[in-house]
Amino acid sequence: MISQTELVQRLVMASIPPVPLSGATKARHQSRIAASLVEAQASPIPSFSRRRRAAVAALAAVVSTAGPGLVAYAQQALPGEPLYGLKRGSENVLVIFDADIRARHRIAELEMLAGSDQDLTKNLAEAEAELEDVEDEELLTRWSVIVGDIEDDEADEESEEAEEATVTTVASEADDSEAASDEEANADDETNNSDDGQSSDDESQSGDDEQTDTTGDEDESDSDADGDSDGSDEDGSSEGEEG
Amino acid sequence: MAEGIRSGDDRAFAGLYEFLADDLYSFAWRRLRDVHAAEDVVQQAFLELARSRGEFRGDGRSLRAWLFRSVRFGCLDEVRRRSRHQEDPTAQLPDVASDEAEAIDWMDPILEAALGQLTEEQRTVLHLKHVVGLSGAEMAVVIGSNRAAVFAMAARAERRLRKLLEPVESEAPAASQEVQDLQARGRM
Repeated sequence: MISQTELVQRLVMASIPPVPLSGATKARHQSRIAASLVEAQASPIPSFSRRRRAAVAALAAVVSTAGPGLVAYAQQALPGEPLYGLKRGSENVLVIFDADIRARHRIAELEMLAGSDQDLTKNLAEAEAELEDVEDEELLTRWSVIVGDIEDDEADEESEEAEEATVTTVASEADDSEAASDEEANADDETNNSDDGQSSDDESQSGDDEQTDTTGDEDESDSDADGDSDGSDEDGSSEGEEG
Repeated sequence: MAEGIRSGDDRAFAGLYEFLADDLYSFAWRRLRDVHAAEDVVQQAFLELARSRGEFRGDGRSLRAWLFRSVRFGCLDEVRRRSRHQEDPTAQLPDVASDEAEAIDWMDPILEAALGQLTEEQRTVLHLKHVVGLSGAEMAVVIGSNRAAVFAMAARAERRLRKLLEPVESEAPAASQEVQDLQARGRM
């Protein structure tokens, strides 16, 4: 795996234009910009307004109903555990105005759950939503690391499953080929028996195998196939009836 | 500077242009592989800012993010325009000058192939983060998303790129050496 430094160096090298912006080009651009400042009218610009926080005062009722002790105990709950809903509700009331705290909790939960068998898709989406208002870049870096780890775990699981599926397929194919070779061996025995003229009925039942076993007795098998193709069935059926 | 831009001060615009033009041009060239189209896209971004200056609400960093966003959309428009003219086979090809052709000769073909398998957003985020050095907030403005999504996108893109680069280089050391030789010649 290439290092981060090498990756960045290669990206930087690949981003150097073959021809730099010349002084003449810059002067031409600046002249055009200056002219447009005089002429142009102001027009709307995309706003950078942030998402407004939703009011969740009603959730305070949940906390007051549950009691402060239970709420404190619930703070240790992880996603999927019974008190996790209470933890989230109380969090919304107690730290509603601090997005960083909520986001920190979500990331800590993900870090604890990473590597477990639990499906974390929903948790990742929730954490991402919490991080929308977060300004702390260190926290965001921590988030990007945990996202990568979880996705790597998922990829590993998928490749393991694919590997298991391949092993199963190969094993079943091996069983099939073993069974086929057994059948072939039986068919050879039967053909040899028929070559000895012991049973024309056996010959007719293993007709497919007979066609593949053409070594040595081609003329004989051809004549049998041609001559007995209809008759062998009759022989077989008549013998069956007799049995 | 942001106040000077809002008021239409041409010195503020000149300073902003001097500060950002090269980075914006590199960003545009990476996307278009055409120096003349890249120059035009950069100029258009500043002209658009000049027209919209009265409505601008933000600081210097917001200005930088806004310009990169404008250049990104300019490049996407250019790519769409080229794809609409696909009946003309030469319309897709950049106007390659001789020195540009020489530079393409020492490009990193393995990296280019790997980058080609990423999405446009992933390539953009990688460039903004590692080549330009934009903050998460600035990248979010350029991509039109939130910071968390952008950080996650960058992490995914880096991991994907590493995985894409790994097998090629381990399985074909000769090709990698060839690329290194080409790069070495290009740097001389």
